[in-house]
Amino acid sequence: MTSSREAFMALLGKDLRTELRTMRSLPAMVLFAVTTFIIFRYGLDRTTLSGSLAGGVLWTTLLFAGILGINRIFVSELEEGGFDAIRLAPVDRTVLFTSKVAALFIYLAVLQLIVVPVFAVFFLPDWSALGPLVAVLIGANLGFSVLGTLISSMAVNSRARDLLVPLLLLPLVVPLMIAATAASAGLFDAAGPDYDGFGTWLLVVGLYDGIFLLVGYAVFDFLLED
Amino acid sequence: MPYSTFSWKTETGPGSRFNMTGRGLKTLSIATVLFLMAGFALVFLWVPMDADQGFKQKIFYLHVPLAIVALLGFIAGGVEGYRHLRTGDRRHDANSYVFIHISVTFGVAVLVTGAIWAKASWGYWWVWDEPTLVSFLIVFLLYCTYYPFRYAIEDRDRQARYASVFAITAGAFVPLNFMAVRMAESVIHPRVFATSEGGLPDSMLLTFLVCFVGIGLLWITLVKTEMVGKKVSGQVSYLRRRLHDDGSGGSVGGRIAPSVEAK
Amino acid sequence: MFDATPSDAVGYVFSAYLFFLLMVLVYISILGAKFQRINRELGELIEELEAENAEPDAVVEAGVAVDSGSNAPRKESSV
Repeated sequence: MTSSREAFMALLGKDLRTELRTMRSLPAMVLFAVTTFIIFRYGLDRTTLSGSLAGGVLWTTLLFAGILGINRIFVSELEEGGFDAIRLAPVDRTVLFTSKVAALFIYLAVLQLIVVPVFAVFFLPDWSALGPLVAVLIGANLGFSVLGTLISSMAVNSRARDLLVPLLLLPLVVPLMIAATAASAGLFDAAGPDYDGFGTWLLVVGLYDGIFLLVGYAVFDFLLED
Repeated sequence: MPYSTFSWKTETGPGSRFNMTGRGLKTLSIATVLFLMAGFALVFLWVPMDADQGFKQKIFYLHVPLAIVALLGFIAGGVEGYRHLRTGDRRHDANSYVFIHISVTFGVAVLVTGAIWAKASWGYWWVWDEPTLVSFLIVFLLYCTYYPFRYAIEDRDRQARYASVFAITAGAFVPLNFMAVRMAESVIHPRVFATSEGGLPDSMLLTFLVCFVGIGLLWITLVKTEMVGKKVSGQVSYLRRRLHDDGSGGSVGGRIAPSVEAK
Repeated sequence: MFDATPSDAVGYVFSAYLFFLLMVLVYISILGAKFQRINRELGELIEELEAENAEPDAVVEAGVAVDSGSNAPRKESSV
């Protein structure tokens, strides 16, 4: 019997290797995000952004780019029989959940590693917000990965999954987006980072992560049964 | 009569309890009508005018009970989803579906009465700085996706299981969402529950409670009626299957809605 | 703060309550239609059942008396 840890590493490694070889999701996500910045530049008719406008543009773009990746996270499992293999393997099934959350988290982190600097170059006159922003990015990524994995695994077995993922996910991440944009709005303040309320909002992000981690961990088993 | 010997009653478990549900339903609907009539009579004939808001405050006695009942129904739907996953009993899934369905219907009324109240109070049909209404809209939108989600899953067991997972996730989301939206709203509006005198006068509280019970009973009555419908339509398709022996089941009950069927 | 004139307020309040009552009515009529449909399907099933029970006899009778008409013997056998 393989330990959960080994199984987790094996599954995560498989996902990352597959992505590295096929490049199925990440390049599309990055391209999408950068193009969206350009659309915002003309849609809002601004060349620099600050405050809540900067936070809104950044998080909207990351959210929609993330949905592109979430849509695909379980497709290969379905098409190539990964689900059946997991069902047969003598490992705890929640390992699949945690490994997918981790994979999605890494995708999002790589996406942001490229896209956030681009955002700063495009729109931010002052880059001092980027340091503390990392904390918000990590917290929001975790919540986003948990919910994305949950929703994606629910939608993958249905008709019209491409439609269902954004439909189900968008209302669910509204609180996360509220907290993430509110926490970043102060950081992007035109007069330099403002930490008023930053900690409280970070706490809300953490609470959100915790609750849905628990929910996901509790219910994921039922999504795999057949 | 040839069909009087056909003993579906003994073979379908819930069938024998059907009559009891029917009788309870009658008492329930009479109580609902009485409470609603009494509540609305109190609203329009007895309760004193609100000092700050005047006549338009009377929407409060309709809007707020509807919202509270709908939200409780959403959470109860999550609990039933949890019980379905725990026990594997399809009746809990049917309950969960009906709870959510009636609450979504109530949700339409909440949003419309809320918009009318906003128009009467602030002059706009929609105000973003009213956190409860905004968070209700988000919750409502989330639960609206419950229908296409169910519809998209063909396998009935899987549909029931996934719908329960949805109900649980969304149930956990409801309080979290209210907290986040309320926190985002820095401006605090005067609330009817917390007036300058610090609390609702007794007469208003009584009126509110009567209306709340009436709306709650309405929710329960509609849920029970829907459940009876599901049960009967399940039995009809059972009959049809027995009669035809082709397993087609028939069209009653639709494809999204779970039907309560005995094996 | 915007203040609706008293007559405006009366209109808003009544339209809110009216909307609620209309919605309940519509919902109940939808439920009624659903029950009616179930009732009709049940009636159809019962008819089918009767016809099915009648059929074997009808076949026998048809063999005995070919010209005895179509409906009358059927009805008798089902009772």
